[in-house]
Amino acid sequence: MIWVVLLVVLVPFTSAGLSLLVGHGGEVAERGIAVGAGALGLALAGVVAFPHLGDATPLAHVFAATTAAGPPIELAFYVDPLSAVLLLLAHTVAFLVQVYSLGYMHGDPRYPSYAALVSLFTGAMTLVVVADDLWVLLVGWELMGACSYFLISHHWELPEARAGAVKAFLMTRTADLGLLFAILVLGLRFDSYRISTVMAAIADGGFGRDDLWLPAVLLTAAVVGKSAQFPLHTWLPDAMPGPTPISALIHAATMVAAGVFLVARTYPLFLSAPAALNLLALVAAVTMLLAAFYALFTSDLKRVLAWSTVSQLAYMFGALAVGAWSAGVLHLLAHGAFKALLFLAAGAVVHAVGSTSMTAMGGLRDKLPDTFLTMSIGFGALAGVVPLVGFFTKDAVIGATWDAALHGRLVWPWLAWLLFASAVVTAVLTVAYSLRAWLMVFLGSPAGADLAEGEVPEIAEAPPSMKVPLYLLALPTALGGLVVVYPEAVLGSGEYHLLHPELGLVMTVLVALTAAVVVRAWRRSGGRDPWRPRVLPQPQVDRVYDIGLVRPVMRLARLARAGDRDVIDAYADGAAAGAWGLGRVLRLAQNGNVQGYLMVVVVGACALAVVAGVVA
Amino acid sequence: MPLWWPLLLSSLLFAIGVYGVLVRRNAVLVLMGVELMLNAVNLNLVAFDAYFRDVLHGGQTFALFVIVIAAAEIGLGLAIVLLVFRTHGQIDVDTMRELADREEPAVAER
Amino acid sequence: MRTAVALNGLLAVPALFALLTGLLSRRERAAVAAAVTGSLVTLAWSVWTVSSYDGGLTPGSTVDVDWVASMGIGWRLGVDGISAPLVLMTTLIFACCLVALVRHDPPGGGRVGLAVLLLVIESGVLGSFLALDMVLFFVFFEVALIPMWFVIHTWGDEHDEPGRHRAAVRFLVFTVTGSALMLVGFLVARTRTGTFDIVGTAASYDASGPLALTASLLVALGLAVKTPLWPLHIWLPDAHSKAPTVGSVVLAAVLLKLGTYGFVRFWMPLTSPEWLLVPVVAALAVVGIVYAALACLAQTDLKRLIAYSSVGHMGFVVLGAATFTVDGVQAAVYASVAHGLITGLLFFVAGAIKDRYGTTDLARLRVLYGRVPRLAGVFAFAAMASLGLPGLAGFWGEMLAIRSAVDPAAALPGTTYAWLAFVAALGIILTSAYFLAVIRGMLQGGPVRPVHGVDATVELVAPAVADDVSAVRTPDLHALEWVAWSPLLALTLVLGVAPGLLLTPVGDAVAAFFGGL
Repeated sequence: MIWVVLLVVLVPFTSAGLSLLVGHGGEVAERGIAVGAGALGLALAGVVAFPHLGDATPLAHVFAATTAAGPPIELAFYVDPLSAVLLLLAHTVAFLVQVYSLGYMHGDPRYPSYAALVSLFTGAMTLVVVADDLWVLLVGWELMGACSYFLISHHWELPEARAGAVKAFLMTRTADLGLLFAILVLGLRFDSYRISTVMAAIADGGFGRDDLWLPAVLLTAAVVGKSAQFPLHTWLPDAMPGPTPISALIHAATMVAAGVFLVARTYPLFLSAPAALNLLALVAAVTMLLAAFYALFTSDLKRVLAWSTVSQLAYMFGALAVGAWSAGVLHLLAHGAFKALLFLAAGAVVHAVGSTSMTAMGGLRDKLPDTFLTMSIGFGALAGVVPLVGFFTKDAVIGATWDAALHGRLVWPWLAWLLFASAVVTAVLTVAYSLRAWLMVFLGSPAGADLAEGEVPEIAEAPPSMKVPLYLLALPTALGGLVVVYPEAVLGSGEYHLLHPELGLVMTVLVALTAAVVVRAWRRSGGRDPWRPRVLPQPQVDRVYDIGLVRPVMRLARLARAGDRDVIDAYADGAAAGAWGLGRVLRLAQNGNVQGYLMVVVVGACALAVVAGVVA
Repeated sequence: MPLWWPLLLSSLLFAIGVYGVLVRRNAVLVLMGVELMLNAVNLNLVAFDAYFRDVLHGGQTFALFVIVIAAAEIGLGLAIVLLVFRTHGQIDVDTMRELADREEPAVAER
Repeated sequence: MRTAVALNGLLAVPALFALLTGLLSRRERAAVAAAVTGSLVTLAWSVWTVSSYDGGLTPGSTVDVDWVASMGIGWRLGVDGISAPLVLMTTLIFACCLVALVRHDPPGGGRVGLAVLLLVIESGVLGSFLALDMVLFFVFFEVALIPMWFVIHTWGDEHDEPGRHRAAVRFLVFTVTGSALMLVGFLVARTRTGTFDIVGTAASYDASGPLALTASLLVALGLAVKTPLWPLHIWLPDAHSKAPTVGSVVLAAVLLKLGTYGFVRFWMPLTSPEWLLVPVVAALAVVGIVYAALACLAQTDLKRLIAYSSVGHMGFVVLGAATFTVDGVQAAVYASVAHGLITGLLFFVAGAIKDRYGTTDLARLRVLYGRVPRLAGVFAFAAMASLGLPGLAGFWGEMLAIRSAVDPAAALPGTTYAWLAFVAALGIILTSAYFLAVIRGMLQGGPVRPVHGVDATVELVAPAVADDVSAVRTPDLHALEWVAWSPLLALTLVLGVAPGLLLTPVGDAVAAFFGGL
């Protein structure tokens, strides 16, 4: 079994290498490798994951370890239900994205590097999910960031793609320092880098808050960066110039969710460190509301989805912060499914329309029937419509914050109340922006209606390679709620408190009311944007970074360069000039008069004799 | 004979020689000054040899050495003086400054 | 006997082939062939030597012959886990350089002379890595340095003759001054030990008292010039950017390692961690990391940028050594080897760019992804490795250096070191920033901004139409470049995936050499 785990890690990496080797040599081979490896990876992931769902004993194995004075760095894997479900999620989405890309990236000259990077990313995500050694996790963690960087800048001709890629990489990498130092501190405290060992040691007790708050807060910093939470949230919307399948895979389903996974994985540590939980709760409360507001007013389809991702990730962190581990993880899975679906469907729309602006869309219901159907399911799940998966998991999260506000002990009560209020308001806003996007894209008057006959752009449904993944993702989105009803089958037996019927009823009423208001506003606007798109007063986070960080660094950089040239160079040049100057003085004595030289010799000899006499 | 007599004489000779070398302008006279200094040294050597009654007579031997070297040196020196006279038309030491470090040094590449 | 043949042979082979190449200089093809063969034979020989060593520096596995017996100088050679990775890296880099020279005729001509000098340098460098005697180390150090002057002076940047001469002189003056100081330090140390044998010294040296401090200080000063440590790095950007491509590669990949290796092998045994000197060295290393990264952000020339990045990477190496832990030395050796591979590759790429476009000015190079996609891809790979992407070689050395700084030797101030580790980590972020800026500007293109008042838009190298960049193509990588670079690419990947390959032998050797650090 353990060798299958190794294989599931190796297959994507091998496929990436093969893709690059084949390169432009054979297009068919290239596609075969990408999709074949995706399918193989998914199959292997299934083989690994299914036996470890539920109550199975976790699998742990060390392949190799370094010998050194410090705690060893080990190639160690660990598969428990959490790893298993994420493994399935990552490989499913990755496989579907590879299939989808056959159509979406058709004719792209850079398909080989694209396919290779997607495979590489899949491998990195797998590594993160199954790693039992913190360093191995870090390797996967940062490798994901690099793949994300290269894939965002896939269309490097676009200035915004270049800028977004750099921003994403730098922001997440800066936050990754938190993970690095958390690893170092944990290694010092526990003399091991094995996650399972460290977590067992924490669970045994014996370590107080004073020992644990620092690594927990450092980890929080890392996940805030990776999952684009406030105040490091600005990179994710700017990452949207990347190809849409990438947004589905990396910036919705897997990489950004890895932050949630990391917290879930190291949960004993967080439970013993209230400071980190409070921080997490605060960040989540602020982020979910802020991002929902942005999503409400953006007129770019992909950016709406990006902001909603940020907002939904904040839900997961909120659940984890109040101790609802299973609610957070289940929402992560549900979100992975429906957000990947939404992004892929949005890709189909963009593919057809040729623009990401929602003002260029409208009335697409008849032209893109398959996309319409699946995307409606996706939006429904996002908004929390009753039988879809989003309803159940979001209900579980809001219920958890409600419980925490009433009688929770993990975070400060006022923070729990804030979180609860924020979650409810965000749920309402989510309905509003989902519905708005759905209405603007699929209903109403077509954007080109006022154009003459011949000028209306041809809009056709996507090829089958793009449609099939949509339906395959719509399936779990529609039926995933069953997992929330029977969580034991997936996460193992335990006490779950995921269903809150009364709360669910209230939320459904709220959803319906909001929907009515939005539809009314939309009608009144004549089937266009229900409200005037406006530029929200952005909290000037980016400006703060720019003024507080980027510019001073650049100023320092120029200073360093000038310092090298004018100061440090100066002592080198000064030494040279000093030698020249001394030489110039000394050569005055070289006047050519031999008798003068001799005079010096005689005087010198006499002086020496006198000195010798005095001393002796 | 007390030792200080020859030593006094040799010191006087040496001083005269130094004066000659440092002050005279005529190259031949400078050479003569050198000869005087060398012979002062010879006198010293012989005097100490006699005073210490050295079995190997190192002092006398060295005096002979010095005489030979002085002969060679004066020969060479006079030859140089002769050449200088031929090329320059005079043998004034003060005017011979060809070796002075006069021009800007060829700046080493920097 | 076998040991003697292996070790002495490793020094003799490149020297003999240098002689042979020189003798064949009339027939250029044969001479170059001889030089390449020589480097390959040396590579094979070094693999054989390293694979056959066992027991580290025990008397049976080292060469120990009196050289100047009256002064206690011996012909002492040996190889252990600390030097073996560097020896292999050196022979590999030289092989790559000479192979690269086969097709690439340096602008000044006289390829044979360059090849001969490279082989002489190789001999000197290998001698330095194998030497177990302080004076012998110094001698080989000089043998490696002086030919480099000729390389920079004669074959350097053909567009800037005064500049390259100045760079060559500066290089020589700085490094020779440094090694002279180091020699004085060794002499002072000898007054306490009576021998120049470093193995014996490491085992029994009593590092206390002002005399020992003087010795350690002088050695540190000398090595700090060569490594280089801030603020003695000023010779480096000039020398690296003005040298010919192979010269830059050798300088960065190999010659800098003489300094770092000297720190580990010859400075640490002479030093007590209780002295203030040690935290000061560590602090200078960290200042260098941040300073170099900042300087890189403001660079406008690719080769200068890579050169400055070396200063930062060497900072990590010295930081590792200055923690006086086994981890730290592992980090130092690892980071040295990784930097050799990665920066060697970067300089190769920079040289290839210069061959194609005649400049390395970042303001003038645009859209290389579109023009030379493979070359640009290799550069992106090397840049990622250099900025410490996990899974590639650059990551482990620097992370381990930070790890060891978080947990330094007991005699060192822990809090200070923790802060140093934090600042060094910030340096990693800055490193990412400048490499991303280069990728964004040079590989991906973008608005051309005027630099230094030069209107760069009118002077784009090789005309590129913005909307059809892939149409304008210059020759991409040719086969020989692949041959010369692929070992570096492969090893960067292998060392990144399997750090244990290097960490384990180094760890064992450190324990044996320092006797329980």
